[in-house]
Amino acid sequence: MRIFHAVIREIPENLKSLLLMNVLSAIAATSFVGLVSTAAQQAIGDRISARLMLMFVVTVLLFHVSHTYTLVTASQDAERLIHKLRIRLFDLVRRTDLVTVDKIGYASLQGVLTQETQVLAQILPMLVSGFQQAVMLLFLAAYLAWLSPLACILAFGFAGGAVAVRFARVKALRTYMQSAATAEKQVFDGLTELLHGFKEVRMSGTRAAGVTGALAHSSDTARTANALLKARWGRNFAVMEAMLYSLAGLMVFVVPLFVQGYHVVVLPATIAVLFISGPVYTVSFITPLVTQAELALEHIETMHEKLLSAAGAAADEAARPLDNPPASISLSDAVLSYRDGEQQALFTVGPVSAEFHAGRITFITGGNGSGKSTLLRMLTGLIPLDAGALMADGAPIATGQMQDYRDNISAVFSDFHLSRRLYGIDDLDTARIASLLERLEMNDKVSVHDGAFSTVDLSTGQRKRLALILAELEDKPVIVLDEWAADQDPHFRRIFYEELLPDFKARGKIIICVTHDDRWFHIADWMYHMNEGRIEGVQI
Amino acid sequence: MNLLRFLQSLGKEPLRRLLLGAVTSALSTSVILALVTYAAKKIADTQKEFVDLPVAAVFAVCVLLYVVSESRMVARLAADIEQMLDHLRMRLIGRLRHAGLWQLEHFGQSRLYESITQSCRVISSNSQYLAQAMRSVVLIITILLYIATVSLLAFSLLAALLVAASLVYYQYGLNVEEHREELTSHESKLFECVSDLFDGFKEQRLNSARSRALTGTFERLSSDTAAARCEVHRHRWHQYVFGETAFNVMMGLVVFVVPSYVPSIRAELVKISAAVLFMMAPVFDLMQSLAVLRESDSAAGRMMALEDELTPLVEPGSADPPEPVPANFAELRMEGVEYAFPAAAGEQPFAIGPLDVSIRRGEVVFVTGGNGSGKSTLIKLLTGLYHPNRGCLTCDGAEITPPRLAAYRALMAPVFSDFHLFSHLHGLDDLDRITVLDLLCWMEMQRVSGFDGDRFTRIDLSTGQRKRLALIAAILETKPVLILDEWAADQDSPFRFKFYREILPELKRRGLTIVAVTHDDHYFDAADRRLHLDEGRLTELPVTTGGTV
Repeated sequence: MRIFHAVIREIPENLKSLLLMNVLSAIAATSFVGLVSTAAQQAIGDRISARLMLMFVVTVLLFHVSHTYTLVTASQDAERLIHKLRIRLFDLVRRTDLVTVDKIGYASLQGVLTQETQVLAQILPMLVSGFQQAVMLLFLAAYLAWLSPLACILAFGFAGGAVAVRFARVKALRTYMQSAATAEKQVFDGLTELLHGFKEVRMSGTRAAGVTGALAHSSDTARTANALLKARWGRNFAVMEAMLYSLAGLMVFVVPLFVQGYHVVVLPATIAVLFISGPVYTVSFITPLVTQAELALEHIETMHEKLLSAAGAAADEAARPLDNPPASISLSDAVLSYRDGEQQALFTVGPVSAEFHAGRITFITGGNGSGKSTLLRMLTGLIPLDAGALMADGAPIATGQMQDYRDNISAVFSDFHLSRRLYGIDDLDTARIASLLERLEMNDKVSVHDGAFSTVDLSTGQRKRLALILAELEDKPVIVLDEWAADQDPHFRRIFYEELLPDFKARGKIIICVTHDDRWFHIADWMYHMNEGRIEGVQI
Repeated sequence: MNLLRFLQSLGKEPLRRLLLGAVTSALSTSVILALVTYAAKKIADTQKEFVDLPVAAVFAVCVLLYVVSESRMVARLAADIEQMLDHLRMRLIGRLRHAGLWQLEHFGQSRLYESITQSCRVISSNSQYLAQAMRSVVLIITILLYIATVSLLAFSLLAALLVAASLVYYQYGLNVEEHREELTSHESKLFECVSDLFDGFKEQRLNSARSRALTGTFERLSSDTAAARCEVHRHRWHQYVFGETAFNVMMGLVVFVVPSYVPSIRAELVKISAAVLFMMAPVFDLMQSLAVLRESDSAAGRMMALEDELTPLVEPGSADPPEPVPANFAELRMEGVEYAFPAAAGEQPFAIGPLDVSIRRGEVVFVTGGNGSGKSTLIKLLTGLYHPNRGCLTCDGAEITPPRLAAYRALMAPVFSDFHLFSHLHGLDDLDRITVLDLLCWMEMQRVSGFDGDRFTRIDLSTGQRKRLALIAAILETKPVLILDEWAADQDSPFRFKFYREILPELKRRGLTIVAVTHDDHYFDAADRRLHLDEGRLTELPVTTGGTV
């Protein structure tokens, strides 16, 4: 049971008091049943005693307080557990290198961080109440056993059977749920096609008919799948309820056959059984959820271990800084291969050697898929090389210096990401930001407030300009731009090549640009041309 | 109740069936209760252990009746609701299909998604609660009536308490909802931060300060979320325990208070307390159902409202029988076309026009201009996707009236700059495989994708590659006019060269009329004519290489 381990390891503080209060609430519930039965029977004879009444009031109060405490405290602890797991995982991911993250897959990492923790957050409180009800059932069982041992065995045997039946049926239900979910996903995809391809749909009547026809089919499939699922669900529910009713029937139609003197306890026994049907239902509803929670926790813990072992294998990249900010960086006979699961090289870049110097603009050109972006990843130290060396000022960069090396680089990749928040840029100089926004002609569209852009819901070209502003604010010795100008109009492209780049150059930065714009090749001081993973031509 | 109104749209039958099912199921349940207490009391009174066989038999029948009626009710209701959802969904999609582009663009896609997928899911996955609520109501009434036959005082006390407790319980529920909304907003911020980590993974690797700030922000957001969720839990559990305590108090009233006033009831106390215990389940079910149904109900309301709102979106003439335009046209014209985007108060609206453009059959026309000069708007006007405020489109002198729009658009095959590559080539049946493979080779795509029946085998490719597939699809449509919006922007230099020097001339040679938006001033000479846009104004420029603007 991973959950127990996790609870004992992470949130042991309140366990004792929780257990105590839980037992108290179970005792209160049980004595409540006993008191009601006694009172109901006493009433037949003479007046009800004040003592009984007082006990009843105390019981109700005790139940209220202890039950509230148990549920609220346990839920809060569960939330604390999730918070701990979540931030630990996030921090681990952040420290992991690009290769590991690529290998594990963004989608599964993101899924663990969002969906799995969400699942836990939703299920854990239910488990808390399930556990609480289970303890209550234990005490009620003892009470019933005191009334009539056989009635207790029969009742709880039957209740256990009901829980088991429910558990098995929920499993069967899951396949129906999956097919319904698949059908709904198809409707979603169909709608996406209609909306994303709306212009295309409007341009052609036959296409419109094709798209809506496909949607009608998916919609109908979803209808059938959902109706089927609900029919199954309804039957399960009805059977479960019927079993609980039969439990009461058991007490009056079966138990009397076997137990001598049962007539004395038949009324309290029946009342007790009526009372347990609520908790039995809750427990039967919650038991299947344990599996789900275990699974979610397993995913989180496995991911945690994967990341930890990856981090353990990798040397500490932040051990020591570079001696000086680099004035030149270079690759020497560097090789990098992308490999598939069986370590077969899918695509290899290198061996390549290239140098980049301060105050010099270097262009990298080459066709689609010639390895330009990979070269940038190698050069920025995002991926460790298979062979060869990455050097700063002529000396190879030690693994322990890698983070500091990367901290000297600003980059706008072609698949860049612009977050709304300006993470990690403290003491924002508002005047400087305003002047940069103006220079990049973004001042009438975007402003910066509270460390975040007012909007990033802009065209790609405009978002790239904001990314360049970030790079300017960071003001690092190396600037890497991957097809930055591709989404700009001719007017701004000209500003970029004829004003911004020369400005960087004048400030003594190492400037590395991947570009297709042959019109401006003359701006470059140095050019590398790539083809099929190698540097083919060097132009000066 | 929107949901019931919703259900009524299928006629009276479903509602009648639902009511019948609820009554059967509730009655059989109450008989079960009555039989159990009757049998228990009898054993206690006669002081003999025996089984009343006839009563046991009726009990068994009632349990069976319950199972059958309950599961049938849920299944039938679900089938009805699903059918209704299917109808509504397709009605919404039908309206969407005929919507005008501009209207749709400004309608907000998230609402459409929300209604057509999420609202449907909410209603469909909670359909059983409607049945449960109905059954619970009938059951509670029956049990209360049963208590009334035993003691009127007990009945009035219990009913009053039940109503009061329900109101408080409901109020608690509203409180929970409020906190839940807060939680949702915290959560979405948390998830945005997770996306920032993954989408900007490379960026944070290049900057330790950014990376540390990211984790700091996440920690703060995570603890905010945890706190918000704790609040939700706290309120929810308070509500839950309140419900339980209210029941316990009711029970106390029945066994301790009522007998003091009505001594005659003493013999019936067991029956009443059993009835109260039995009532607990339906009351909680009803509360839960109502909370869930409120969500379904507002989802249903949103869907119905959406249907009304989509009506004015429909493009005039779109759903009418189409009128033809000459397929062998010699000239398409935009005559005095003007268009202005609605602007916020106090801002200068972006306006384009008046545009007078003539496109003769077989010409290659380039449209140039800076970002935001109105090129894409011109394309949308030319294709009839946007409707001009003034002026009109003509085809060989015939004005393109709304009924002619469909036929007019059918003359053109476009690849927009924000094009969509469909998973299937809808509307292109019986394609010649060889033709498609030839085109794939021509676009140098034969190694990355293939063709199978009516779809490309792979479309999760780079933008440049997907554009090549989109161009193939456009060529396959064999329309006389090809419209391309910045098609070459994502292509590498060699292929760009091939596009302007080989592909365009070949398509022209095949007799296609081509209108292409482009930035590639190197290749402006590949056009027969060049239209230049500057802030919405059109000029015709000579076709030469080099120097622009």
